[in-house]
Amino acid sequence: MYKVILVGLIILFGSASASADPVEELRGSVAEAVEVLFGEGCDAKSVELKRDEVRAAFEKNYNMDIIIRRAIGRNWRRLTEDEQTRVLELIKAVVLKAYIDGMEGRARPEISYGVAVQQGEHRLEVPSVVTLEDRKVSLKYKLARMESGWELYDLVAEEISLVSNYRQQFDDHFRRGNAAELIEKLEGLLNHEKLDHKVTL
Amino acid sequence: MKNWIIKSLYKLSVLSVLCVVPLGLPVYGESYVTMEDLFDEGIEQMSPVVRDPLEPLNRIIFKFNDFLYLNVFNPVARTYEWVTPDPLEQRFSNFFENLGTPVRLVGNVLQGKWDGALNESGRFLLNSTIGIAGLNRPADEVSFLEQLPKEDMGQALGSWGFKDGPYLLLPVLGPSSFRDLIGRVGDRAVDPFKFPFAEFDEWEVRTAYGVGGILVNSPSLVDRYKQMKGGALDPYIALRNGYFQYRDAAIKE
Repeated sequence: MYKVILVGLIILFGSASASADPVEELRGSVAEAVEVLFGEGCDAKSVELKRDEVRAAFEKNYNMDIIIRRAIGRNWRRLTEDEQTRVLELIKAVVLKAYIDGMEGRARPEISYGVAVQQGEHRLEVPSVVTLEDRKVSLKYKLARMESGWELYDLVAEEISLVSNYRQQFDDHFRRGNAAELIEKLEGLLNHEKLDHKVTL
Repeated sequence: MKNWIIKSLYKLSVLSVLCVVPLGLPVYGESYVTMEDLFDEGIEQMSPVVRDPLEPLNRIIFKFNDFLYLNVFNPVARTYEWVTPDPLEQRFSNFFENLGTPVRLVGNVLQGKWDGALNESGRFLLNSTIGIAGLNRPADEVSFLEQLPKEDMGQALGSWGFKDGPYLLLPVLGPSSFRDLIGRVGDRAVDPFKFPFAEFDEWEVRTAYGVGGILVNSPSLVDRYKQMKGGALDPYIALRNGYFQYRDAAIKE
């Protein structure tokens, strides 16, 4: 009898721990990503390895497809199944590249978290302030409780929603172009070594 | 022995449940947000409405600004950062921020934000005197004078109900809207250093103020610009959307 109840409690605790404290879970993922970029031995890691490790740190707890699907919005239906898979991968890689390029050569950021605000029955907004050298950036994480646990569904930096910003870019792209051009554009972005190398006039 | 361990673990688990639940861990019930809920949400309703009838012209100006930011401002910003020791850089930045008080003060007053107006006045008094002409920010140490979000006349016009109007990309200055351009003219009118309403007739003073302001702000502005551009599918749209989201939030605040 004890064994049965014990197993039940372990299952209960096991599932509860996946969703009991979403803020701690988030802080853990962010801390892990920061450790990849600024922790011991980070200089010896290649950019590709850093990207993979940062991605793994987030994907351990969150399904990043959700944010990207929200950003693509109704344009999702314009893509074939193969294109959907390719676009998801490329956008993840582009966003991660931008994130890591933006952090490169900087001092380790300090992150302070505010009190999480519950929004409706199953949503949380976790405010934070990232101090990057002498610059403070406000960053809000939006989390929703889904069957799989707490999932990240938007990031709001300095009051600018990542989902809304990308949505407008995708909408605009599909007004003029198609999926193949989108993939080509994303591949181009990914293959740019550094932003500063692009000089246009 | 084995039975004893199982019994102990069981008691410990029950005790943990009894202790943890009343401590206030949120209980969310059995329902969830579904993928469909998240994907079908009207993000368009959350996004700002953008009118951009001048897009072809704006895109030309975008190219010009892009070249300027990355090939002129960027090296200037990096050189400024390199030659200026960090503490001095911070003090210069404080100095110019302090001089921007009249614009923020009027922005607060026009919106009836009296707390903000008092805050700006208090900070200006303290930082200009004890902080030696605004080079230091002793006001940061005073709890009721903590820095509040910046206000300007464009925000005041927005809070009075004026819509953004068409999107404008200004050469050198960057994104704006018809409403915010009018706001900028108003801001200049209350800024004692800026042409054509400047209190100071000497062009040298006005030039030093203008160039100095650009210089101290350039590292942060260039960094933000590069960060925005880095992951953008279409940097022009990303900048435009970011600008309107940022201004909308500032006005609603």
